[in-house]
Amino acid sequence: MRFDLLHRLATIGTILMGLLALFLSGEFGVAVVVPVLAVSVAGPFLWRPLDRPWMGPASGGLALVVGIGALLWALSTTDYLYAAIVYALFLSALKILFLRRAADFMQMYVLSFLHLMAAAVVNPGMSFGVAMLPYVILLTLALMLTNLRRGIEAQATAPGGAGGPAAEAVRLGAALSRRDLVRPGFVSATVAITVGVFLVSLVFFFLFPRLGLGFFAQQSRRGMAVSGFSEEVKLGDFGNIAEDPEVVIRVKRKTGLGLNDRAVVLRMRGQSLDQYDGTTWRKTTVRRHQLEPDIDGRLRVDGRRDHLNVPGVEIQEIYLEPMLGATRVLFGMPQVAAYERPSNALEALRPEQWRFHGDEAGDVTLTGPPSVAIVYTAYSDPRPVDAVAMRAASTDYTAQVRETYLALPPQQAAIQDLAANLAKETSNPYDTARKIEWYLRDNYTYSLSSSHGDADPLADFLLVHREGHCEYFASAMVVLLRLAGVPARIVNGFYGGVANEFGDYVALRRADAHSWVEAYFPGEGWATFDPTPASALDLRSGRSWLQGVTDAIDAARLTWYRWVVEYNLEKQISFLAQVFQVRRGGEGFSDNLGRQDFHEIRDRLKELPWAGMGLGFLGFLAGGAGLAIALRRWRRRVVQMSLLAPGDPVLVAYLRLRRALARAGLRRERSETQLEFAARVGAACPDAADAVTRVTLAYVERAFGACADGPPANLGATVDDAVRALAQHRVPS
Amino acid sequence: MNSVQFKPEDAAHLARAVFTEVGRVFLGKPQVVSHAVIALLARGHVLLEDVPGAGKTVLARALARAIGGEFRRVQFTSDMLPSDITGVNVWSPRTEAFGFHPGPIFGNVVLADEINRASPRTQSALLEAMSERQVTTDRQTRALPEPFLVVATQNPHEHHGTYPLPESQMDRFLVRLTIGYPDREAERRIVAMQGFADKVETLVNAVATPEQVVAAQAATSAVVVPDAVMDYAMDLVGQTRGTEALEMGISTRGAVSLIAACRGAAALAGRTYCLPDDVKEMFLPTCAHRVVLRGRGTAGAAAREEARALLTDLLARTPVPGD
Amino acid sequence: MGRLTDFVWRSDFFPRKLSFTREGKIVFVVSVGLGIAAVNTGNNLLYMVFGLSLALIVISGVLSESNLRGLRCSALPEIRPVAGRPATAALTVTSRRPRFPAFSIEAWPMVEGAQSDPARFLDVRPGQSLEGACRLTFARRGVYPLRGMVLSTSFPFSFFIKSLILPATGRILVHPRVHPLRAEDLPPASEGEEEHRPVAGRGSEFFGVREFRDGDNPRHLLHRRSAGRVEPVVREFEQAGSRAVWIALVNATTPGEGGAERVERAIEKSASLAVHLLDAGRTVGLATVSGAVSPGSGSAQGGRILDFLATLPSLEMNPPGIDEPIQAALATDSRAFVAWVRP
Repeated sequence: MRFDLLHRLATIGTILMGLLALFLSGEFGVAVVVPVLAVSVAGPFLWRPLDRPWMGPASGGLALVVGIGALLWALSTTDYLYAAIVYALFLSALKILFLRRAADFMQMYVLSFLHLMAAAVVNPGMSFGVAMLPYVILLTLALMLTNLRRGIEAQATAPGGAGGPAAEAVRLGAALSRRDLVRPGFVSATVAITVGVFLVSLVFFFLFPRLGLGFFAQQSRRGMAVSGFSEEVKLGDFGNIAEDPEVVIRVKRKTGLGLNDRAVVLRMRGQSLDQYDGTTWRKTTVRRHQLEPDIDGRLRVDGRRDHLNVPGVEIQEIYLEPMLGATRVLFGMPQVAAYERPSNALEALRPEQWRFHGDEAGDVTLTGPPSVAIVYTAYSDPRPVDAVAMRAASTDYTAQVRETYLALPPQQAAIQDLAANLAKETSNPYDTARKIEWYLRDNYTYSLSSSHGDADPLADFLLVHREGHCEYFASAMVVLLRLAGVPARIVNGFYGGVANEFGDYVALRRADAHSWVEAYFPGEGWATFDPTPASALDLRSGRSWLQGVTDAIDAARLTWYRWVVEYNLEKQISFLAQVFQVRRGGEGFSDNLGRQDFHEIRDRLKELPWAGMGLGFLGFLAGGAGLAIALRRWRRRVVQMSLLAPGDPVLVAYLRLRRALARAGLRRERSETQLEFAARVGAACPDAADAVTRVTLAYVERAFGACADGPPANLGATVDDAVRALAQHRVPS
Repeated sequence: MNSVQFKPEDAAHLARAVFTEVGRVFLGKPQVVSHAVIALLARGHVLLEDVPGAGKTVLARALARAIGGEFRRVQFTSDMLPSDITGVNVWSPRTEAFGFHPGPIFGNVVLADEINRASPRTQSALLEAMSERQVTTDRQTRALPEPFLVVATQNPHEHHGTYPLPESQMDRFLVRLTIGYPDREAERRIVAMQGFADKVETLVNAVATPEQVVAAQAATSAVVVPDAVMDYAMDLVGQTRGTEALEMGISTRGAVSLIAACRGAAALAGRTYCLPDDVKEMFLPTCAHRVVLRGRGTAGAAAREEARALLTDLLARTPVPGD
Repeated sequence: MGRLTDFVWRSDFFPRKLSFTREGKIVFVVSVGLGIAAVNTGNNLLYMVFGLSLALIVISGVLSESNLRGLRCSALPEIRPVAGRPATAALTVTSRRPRFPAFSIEAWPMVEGAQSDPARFLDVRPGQSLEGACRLTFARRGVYPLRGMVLSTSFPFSFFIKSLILPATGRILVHPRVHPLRAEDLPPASEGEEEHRPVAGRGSEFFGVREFRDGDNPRHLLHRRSAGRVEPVVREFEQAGSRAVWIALVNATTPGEGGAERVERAIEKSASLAVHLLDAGRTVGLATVSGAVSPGSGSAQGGRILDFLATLPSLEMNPPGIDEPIQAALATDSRAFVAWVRP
């Protein structure tokens, strides 16, 4: 391929990948995306017709005008970031029309690099990573080709060539169209360098200390809207999300059932709602108290259940995707005894950031930064309900229970009759609940598409259509139970799950959202009932042939989030610990470091109030300053050496002598001339005097005299003499 | 044929010979002699500041004798006129025309004794002749002989009825030297030799001709000053200008003089190039009388010592180039 | 220890010089900005981009170093440049590496006070020797010491230019400029036939008879006249225009404004004159305050005169009698034409 064409193609590829990373965020409208992409593909081939002398000032003026426009726009919309990015896009679209010389290409790559930076801010999704990998490869190639182009340009336009600028342009054009410039050696060098750049980038990424916390929030991404977990749920809301395959919860079970069976069905309880007004469920049990961790750092939810003493306790590590809203319901398999959030170095610095609250209903919420995925562990009691104890439970409800869990809006007589009929045949509330559960399962049909009237949707479901989705089943059961005098509430959560063979976890999707029922038995607590026909739910989590691909993508996405987007100091330490085999992290999402380790780190960090920002920033600045100083030193050294040709035999001899002198403790003062120094050495060490003087004389003659004849004969031997004499000599310091 | 005369090596031989000859009668002060010879090579002039009887006359006479040149002496007094130095046109009845009677300045080595006794007008006539190397009387210009070296003396301890040289005039002397007392051994020999004091000419051999000295001066001016050495000298000069203790640093003329003196020092050492050593050696003699101490001026022995101390400190603080 | 460092120093450790290109500076500044942004936002993707920029810089540094390893540059060939005109010198760059080619190599001699346009090589394969041309331009005549040979590269990303300074010694003698001469610049004697006086030489016209000397052509022996004499006698022939022309250059002037420049111009004029006369087949000698070149002819004499003029000091002093050496030199050849050149 012609060199010029190859170089321009590599440039287009680089720019496109940068733009892709930016545009895949979905933040930019078609009006921006399409023209920018079009110009980026065509632009590199348009420079020849556009190469006019007036074009430079014209484009500069245009850039200035648009820049002012962008500034005004930014000031009016206050969306500075967006305005800046759009302006950067404009600049690159302008610059790409004028790719003439190597320097233009370099400027183009700088602009493209700015795109990538912008993308890093607006696009936390995996698409960024997908675009960045080819970006690294193409950028490396493009930079190397630019280096080659620079050499070709210098050769073709070297002064002394025949003809004027026109002839120069022709020579350059011919040189750039050659096909033999990219030799196999160049190709293999490019490949090797690309791999090197990629690996070094990774090393920097993982090893650069994540200490700074700085002024802004940490990495965040857009939370997803999942209805059903607010304090007010309108009946029928679940239907809208029923088919959404987006994963909300990923669960890794540490104990309990193995994951050999792919079709594992998990029930993840979320939040209960107690008040029903005929169309909407509300939560009135909102009085919350902050949960304080016990000595092990665990947050006990159910005082009666000691999670450590439960046989076969179900420990689940849960990765919860960001959701809209700052207060988030925690999910866990019923009955949850305790939650535990992995202690975190970041959290240690800002302990107020995450707060756990329990409420009167025993639901647990977590308050913290929005738009951040959270990882926590739930300890659940997996034992089935003790039916005997439940049947024996008293029906002596407290006033508060009555008020909260037995209240109902007036119901149609038919429903009251139904409840009375179902309760009539049983002797205790537990059996009544089971009876109602089975009645609904057997006599009603699961359907996502059915619609119910707005006035009294429940009556519509129970008496007319006799089909609906889980919310109707659950609501109906609660109403029937309450009519029968059994305290009950509706519970929202997830039910179902797909085992991911790549990530060894169970994924629960938005489509797995589910409602069920809990009934209260004094002394025994709440028991779970699910009136929705189970066969319908199993059908919902069926596997398709595409499941393997979906699983792989979901596992990759999880890895991306956990190891890239949510990479932090804690993971960094754990990563280093793994690398150096100090301590292996767990298999879960939380990368368990020993609790003691974190306490230690936390204590240390607490001693430094602004440690995060300060350390990182100062370290960075100090590193930069050190680098600058080192560079300057190096440069100064070179300048000083340039009194003589480096490697000059006389200089080599003199330096050898000087090293020998330094070993003997003799060093030239800054204000001492070479000859004065030699005289001082001669006085201190008479044996070496002659040789030292001779070498020094040869040196100053060479360094200061313009004479460029060869070195005096036997200079090396003279130095040897001096070195020998000096070896005997030690100056008392 | 094909001979390049005036080689620096030859200049060194000549200068060494002169140095040795003068040293035979001017005992115990080789540094003063070498600085005087350097001034000669660099086409400069010497200002000797010392008490009377330190041997200033001997130095000048010996120098004149060694280069085979003519020695002249001017004893300055307060009633001296410029024409007493430069010479006058005198009507000669025999030729019925004005004939020029050259003054004492027409010599190769001129000893201007106790220059601070003369009026400023007379002083400036001398100084002008020194720098122009010519004398103008009645609109007629006469070149002074070459080589031309003025050795002026000044008694720093005497103040009454004197006109100390102003700073700008001090600048015209390439070097200022002080002789000081010789050590015991040298003084012994001087005293023993005293009977011959008037016969310096008989003790010193002429080892060169004035023409050879001119050639040596030409060779000296061709001595190379490497960039590094030039930078070093400029560093030193520049620092005198920024010093708090100095009211006036070294002038550009001073810098030119320093480099000229370094060339002389290099030539005396037989080198064709300057070293930082030359700068270090010549810095004090060429520059100490050119700086003005804040509130002290240049006059007086105390001011002189203070200026020397300051410049010595500067030398100790300035890094020397090389390696 | 000392031996080891000496060995390393002598074998492959040459001083290096690293300088940023404009793009390199931009990349460095952008990286610093990125680092600050990443540290302060904690945005991991910014860390990733930051890592990429650092990787580019680090790889750039490592590769520019290894790209120069094992490369050698030939010594600078003998050149006699003229001040103000570019002189071309051929340089050979040799790769002593067993594998891996070197890319984007530039080579030039390190000469203070010279403008160099380097010899450029797109790639040098292992074991390969490539020849390229570099151009040196000197503003002024004189001796320029060669400080070393420089090999440099901007490979791989043109962020840095890394230079390796190989030891080399020697000096470059730069001749004074030679200008085309105007008629009035030429000494009248070189053209005027009226001043022509016969000069003995190897011409064709009979001139006279003299005693035989070593080196005379034996064919010109006059056997008849030689009979009865101790020394044989030869015919002498007149050589056309063979009277030497002495260029008397006063390379000294009164100190003051532009004095040195005036001497420079006089030196250039003398050089031009010498070249012109020698081209015309004349015998030319040079006398200056600082020495003389005895008369000769041909291009070798041109080289001698120009070499001499290259290092002639330009004296800023004008005492009486300074031209005595010139007079002395001229006195040895009373029949010569003298062309005075004064500043």
